[in-house]
Amino acid sequence: MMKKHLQPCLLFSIACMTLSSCFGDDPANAECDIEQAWIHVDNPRSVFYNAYDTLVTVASTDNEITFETKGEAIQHAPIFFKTTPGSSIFILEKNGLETPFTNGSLVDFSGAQIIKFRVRSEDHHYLRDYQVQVKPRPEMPVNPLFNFDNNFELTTIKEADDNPYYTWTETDAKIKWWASGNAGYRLTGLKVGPLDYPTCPELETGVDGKNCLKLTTRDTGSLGKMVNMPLAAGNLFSGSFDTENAMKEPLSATRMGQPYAHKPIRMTGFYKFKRGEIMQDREKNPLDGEVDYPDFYCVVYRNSDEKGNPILLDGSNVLSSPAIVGMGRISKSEINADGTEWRPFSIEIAYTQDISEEDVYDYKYNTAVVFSSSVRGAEFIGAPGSTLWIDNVKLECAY
Amino acid sequence: MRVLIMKLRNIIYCLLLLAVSTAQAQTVSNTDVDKWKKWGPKDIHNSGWIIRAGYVIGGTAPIPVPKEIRSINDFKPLGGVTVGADYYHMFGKRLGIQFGMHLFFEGFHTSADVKNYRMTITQGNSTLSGNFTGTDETNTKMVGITLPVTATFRISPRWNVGIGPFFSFVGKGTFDGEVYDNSEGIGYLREGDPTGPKIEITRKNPASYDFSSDMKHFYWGLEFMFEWKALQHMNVFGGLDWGLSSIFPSDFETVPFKMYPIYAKFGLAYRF
Repeated sequence: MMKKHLQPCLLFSIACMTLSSCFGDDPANAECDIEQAWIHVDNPRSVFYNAYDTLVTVASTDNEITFETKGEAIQHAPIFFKTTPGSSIFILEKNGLETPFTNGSLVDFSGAQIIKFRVRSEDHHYLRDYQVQVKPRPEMPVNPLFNFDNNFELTTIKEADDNPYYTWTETDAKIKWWASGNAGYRLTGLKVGPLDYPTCPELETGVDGKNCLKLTTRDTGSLGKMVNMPLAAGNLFSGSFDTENAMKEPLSATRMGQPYAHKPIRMTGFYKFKRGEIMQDREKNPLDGEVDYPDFYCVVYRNSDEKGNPILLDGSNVLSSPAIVGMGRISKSEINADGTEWRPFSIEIAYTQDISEEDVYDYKYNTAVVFSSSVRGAEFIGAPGSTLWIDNVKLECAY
Repeated sequence: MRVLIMKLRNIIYCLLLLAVSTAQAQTVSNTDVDKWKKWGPKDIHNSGWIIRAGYVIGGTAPIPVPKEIRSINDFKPLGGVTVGADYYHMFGKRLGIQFGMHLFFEGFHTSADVKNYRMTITQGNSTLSGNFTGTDETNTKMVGITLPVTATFRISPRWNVGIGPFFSFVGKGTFDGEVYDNSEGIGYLREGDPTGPKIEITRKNPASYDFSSDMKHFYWGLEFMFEWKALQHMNVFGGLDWGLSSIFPSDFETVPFKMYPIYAKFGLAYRF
């Protein structure tokens, strides 16, 4: 009797199980990224500043792969790519033809010419084009003046993307010196205009009547709150922003510092600061009695360790790493928060270690220039609405 | 068309399973007249009411399972209760019809490994969409009323099987979940499409979604049922509600597959 009861139940569960069976073969990969690129030269130290400069790790947002050399561009060199498994890579000829590329083939990089590569996904549905170039590292001048007047432009992740934001470059060579968290703010899906991003320009309101930089601590909406990042401080820093880590390890997404062949000793400029009304913690609870401050500083640090491995500081260690050799930071007591008048600032960069001129000229140090509208923005603590305007920043160098 | 054939194949398969189970039941039961007298309908043109209560187990599944779903790691029903009443009418010794009205509370939790799975993360007025690879956890709950119309066939004195359409009205439905990295530590969204920015998502800081408000309030399908007379007035019943319409509208592109509700139920019925 019992058996008869059980039988239909058993059969029903078999019927149910048939629904979840039959997983097909692993689908072909749809991605078509170059994840890493490296070139082989016999004497890397004579061509590159660091041996590790022969390898470029390519972010998912990058389409340009640049190997920066000391001087003359190299001629023919074998180049290798690590691409998405299953994808195929081609050289894109000038006439648009795709020639299959075999890793390690010699490529003519002479004259810093741009070589185009195309990666097609394993499933044949997607492709990505990349530009590869070997060229001398563009030089940031000594005593640079960052006036934020020009050299900013609207950037879109893709041509068709309707969510552009501003990015900044430096000098006429358009050196990609600056980065901001705007690419991370874009992921909040708030679909605001570029002037409502945390980092944007402000036109004709600068200390000289020209344009300036405006950094605002912004609420990140419900998606930001969901991933425990309820606000985004406006920031601009010399370095790069790693979108891949924006959600996973937001502190390490702000990669601070650029190789710089001069020794900064003082950072001067002008600022205005207006506080946001309510200081809030990471859960958006008001922090009574606390007020927001902006932050700006300049850090100089060694960019490789004893073994020659690269050191790249980020939001988690840019003020604490043992690789730091010099630092200057605005103190809270100096900040005037009236938000109406441009005020000058001058920050001395104090060196804790002797550094040699030779090493500086050999790009052994990175310089991180950082501006943020909330001093605790990296912890997602601040007052939404806090606004920092920055203009005419000068990095005075000893040499 | 292929989908339809697969669907039909699955239905036929289930019917066969039912037939086999009932046929086997028949071989062990005695087919003589006494059995019919004892268990068969007392009056071959009779009508009446049945009330029933049971347990529901099942889920919402894309059929066929899309290749983007690589494996199901975890599956457990949430809740799962049905209570209802049926009006039955016998046309003869074997043939009959039943009209039912069943309240149901059913749900499931599932965790699946997915690859390049199209999805949208929605929170308030913010949305982020793209192709996700990693672990996807989903919770579905539905509370509503099902109205089945079932043609029944008494295959033996104690066994009654049936098939017919059902129509469900969902009063309250939820479909939500979260995504994060799988057991190999892989969890990322390619924003927009597979060539878009890669955003890693981990268990420590998962991204959640909620499509509850996009769910339809009406769906239909086929019901397969059986009843076994345990006592003169007490039946053991079982059945399968196979949804043939998706729980999401056809223009809802966030979930790129048609999600069919498929629930099995078991319980006890009292026949007046």
